[in-house]
Amino acid sequence: MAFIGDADEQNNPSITTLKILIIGESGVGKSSLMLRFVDDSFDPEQPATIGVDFRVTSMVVDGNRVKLAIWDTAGQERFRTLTPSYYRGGQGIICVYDVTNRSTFEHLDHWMTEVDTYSTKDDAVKMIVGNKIDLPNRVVSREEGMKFAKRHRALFIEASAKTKEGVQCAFEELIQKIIQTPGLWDSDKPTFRLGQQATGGDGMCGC
Amino acid sequence: MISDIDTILDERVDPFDLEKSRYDYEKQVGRGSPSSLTTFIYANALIRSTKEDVHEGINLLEKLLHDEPDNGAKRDYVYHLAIANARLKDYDRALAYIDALLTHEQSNRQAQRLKEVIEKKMRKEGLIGAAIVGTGALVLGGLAALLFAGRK
Repeated sequence: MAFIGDADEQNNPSITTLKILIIGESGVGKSSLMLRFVDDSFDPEQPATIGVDFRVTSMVVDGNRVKLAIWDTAGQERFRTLTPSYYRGGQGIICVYDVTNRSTFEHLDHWMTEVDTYSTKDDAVKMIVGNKIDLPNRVVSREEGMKFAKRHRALFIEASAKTKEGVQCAFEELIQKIIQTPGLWDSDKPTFRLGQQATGGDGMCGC
Repeated sequence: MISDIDTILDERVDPFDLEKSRYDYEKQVGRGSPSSLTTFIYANALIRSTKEDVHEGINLLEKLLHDEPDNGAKRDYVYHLAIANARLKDYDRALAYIDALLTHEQSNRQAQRLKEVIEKKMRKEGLIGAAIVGTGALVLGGLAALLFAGRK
């Protein structure tokens, strides 16, 4: 898997655009995770997101270029009523908590309920990300996080947007899982790239 | 649905969301004065709709901004006013609003990014030029100072 720039779009056109949503309590590092992934940058004083931020990037999964539309939602209470509409059509949902802040972990239940209520795709891939593992004052153990994710049939990873640890891996795992769930992403485009599927041939369109 | 969206400026509101927020807003207007949250949600839907709706959304956001004492909420309105004005291709105003926010939060990447998107659009439309940007600065100069004046 690797990143490629716009110039490569012609050589390797993207097979699909995936909508990825990042949700979770205020201050857990949603924007930081996105910016680490998209720009490979980190701002220790990242201001609170206004409404929703939106970035497009792309990555290559198993030789196939996939365009990603990443929606980074504001965690602040006053934006809560805005968020539901953003769930629509989301194929991947990353729910973030802060391993040094137990209440952000405890609120995951609320976020999972939101996902189940508003997600329009039943088989959307969920991922729980425990962020800020670089900090010394961890209060939520890896096992707890893992257990929660398992209970909600979600992928799980611990990460640090600050040190990069686990960030790339989180997105890669999520995208791979979405791609491996054909009904989840190709149903939007029944006529997608007709006759251009000869390359690759690793059975990703085996439906 | 999402494949044609490259930036936050291309996003379009779902008609259902627009209707629902309009319903909530008008219900509250009928009962007296609508809450700022309900107004904001409605304005947020309007600015992602038709040109007429964007205008209406701008009016609501300007009123919210005018009446808002809290800087935390002001930045939300200013940011969305930048988006709304950019959608109407009123780039001078859009830049003035985003610059106001950037004056207050110099390292805000979300705001920097929106500014880049707006400038890219201007270049695409052949509008970039010192004269045009200069006029905007002149017309709306001092906006930042006015917006976030006082409380800190």
